[in-house]
Amino acid sequence: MNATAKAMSEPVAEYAIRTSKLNLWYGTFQALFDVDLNICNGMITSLIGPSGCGKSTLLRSVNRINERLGYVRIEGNIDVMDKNIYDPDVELVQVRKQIGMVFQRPNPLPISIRDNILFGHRIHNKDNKSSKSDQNEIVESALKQVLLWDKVKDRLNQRGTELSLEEQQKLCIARLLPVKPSVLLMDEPCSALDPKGTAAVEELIWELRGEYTILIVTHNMAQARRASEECIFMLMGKVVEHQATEDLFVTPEQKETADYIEGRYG
Amino acid sequence: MSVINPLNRSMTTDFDSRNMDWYIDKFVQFIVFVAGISAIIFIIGIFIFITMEGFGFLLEDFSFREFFFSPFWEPSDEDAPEYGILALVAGTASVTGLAMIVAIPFSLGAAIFIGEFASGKMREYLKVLVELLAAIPSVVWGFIGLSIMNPLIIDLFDVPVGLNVLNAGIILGLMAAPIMTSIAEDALKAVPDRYREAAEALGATRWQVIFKTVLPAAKNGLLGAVLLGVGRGFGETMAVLMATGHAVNIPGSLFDPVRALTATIAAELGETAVGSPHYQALFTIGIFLFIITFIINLTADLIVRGIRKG
Repeated sequence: MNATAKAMSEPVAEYAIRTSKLNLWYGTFQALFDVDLNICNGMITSLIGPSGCGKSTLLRSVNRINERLGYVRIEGNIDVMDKNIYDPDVELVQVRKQIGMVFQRPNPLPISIRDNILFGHRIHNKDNKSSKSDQNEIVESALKQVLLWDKVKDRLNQRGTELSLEEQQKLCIARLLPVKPSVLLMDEPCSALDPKGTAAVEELIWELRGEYTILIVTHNMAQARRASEECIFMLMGKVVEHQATEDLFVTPEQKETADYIEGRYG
Repeated sequence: MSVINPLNRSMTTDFDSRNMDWYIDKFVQFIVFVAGISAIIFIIGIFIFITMEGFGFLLEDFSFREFFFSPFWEPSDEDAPEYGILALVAGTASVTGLAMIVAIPFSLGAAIFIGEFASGKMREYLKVLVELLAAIPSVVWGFIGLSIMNPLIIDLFDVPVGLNVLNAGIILGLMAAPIMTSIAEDALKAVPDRYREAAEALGATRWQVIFKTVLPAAKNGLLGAVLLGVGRGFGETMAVLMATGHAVNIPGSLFDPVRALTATIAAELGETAVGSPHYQALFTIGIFLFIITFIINLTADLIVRGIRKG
């Protein structure tokens, strides 16, 4: 833990996600060690590090999707908007409403584009059913926000799975928006895309900053540099360095960070 | 270690020498080929056989109208035998229909539990048990219908006979459920896990994940499972023979005894003179059953295959 990050951990309100003494085990294997992080509200923070360093694990524990595996044990806290999401009284559905997730491989559901967008909305608004025109508006604004509207407006009843990978990934981002999350987690969102798709999705992510707190895991250091404001370097389940992206890449404080970004390992 | 130098051997090679291995290889290839296409040979052979046996009837005494639309199956009437299978079709259809009403919730529930909830050992045990259940001989099911369900139905519903549509439907439903469970579970397993993950990450509860995501994605496979169950119901003989009451009758209620197409063949074929119109009429029923089950199974198979391909 470096001095900058320590200094930043004092104030409270401007952080969307704060972890303290977070340890995580898969069975008997410990994947995260005492992770203390403060992720700034409304910013894009990228998580970098070599394979197996725990960056995806950390990301996936922020909306508790890790728990699907069944053999995961966690100690410590993750506060999202000043509420520990591992408190026993926390409702998992509300956690996932608040914290959307985009996966490495685009995973639209095998239903129409329109239903994909409305899937989360319908789940979280069971009591007050919205009218057809409201739904149309939701679909339109979500698709417009991800710059997909013009491409698909005439074929909203087509299956989401029939789109190109880039469009699928945009659809996956779009379907989070009607749920109105405050945090978006992205697990290597561009790794299945070609360079053109990557550029398009990166641009989209950049557009969304400010409105959402975005935490993005990436293998691609150039991407972290281009598309994030803060950057966290992890190694062997520990946070090595957390700085403004620019500083981390230009003047890394830790030797491991410097070695990694210069490509000596990873 | 000695080094073998092939160049020390004779340089002349006899390229067309055929040793014993060559003949064994060809022979095994032939045997495997015959075994491989035997299913086709048998199915064509059986079809030709039953068609030939029933052909005389089709040519002479067969009347399309009488055969399919007369509810009277009176082949042993000396003066004017009637060969109407309407009542038999109604019997088979009613029993199969009820069986599906029983089997679909059972098998779907079991498949969802095994595929989506049970884990580890529990799941393995359940799968083995379901397969064991599918292997119970149908005469045992018929016996249960006869000796357990029969008095139970008489007691519970205060009816004179317990061998009826209700009895046979429940028995057949329980018989068909294991195989349907097995196929339905395969269909659920074929749904990629990333769909479940996506739905869960959007905040769907377990039930919503299953109901809104997994089941729609697996619907073809589930339909195939149901169709296979229907095929099983149409073709089942022994259990329905024992549990239906075996009376030619278009059922008006669940408590009416009926007779199934298959049971008619099983019960009467041994008592007819080979080559008589009655004998041939039974084979015509066989052709009819053959075609129906073939179509049902083929459709089910195509649907299930379709989902596998994605």
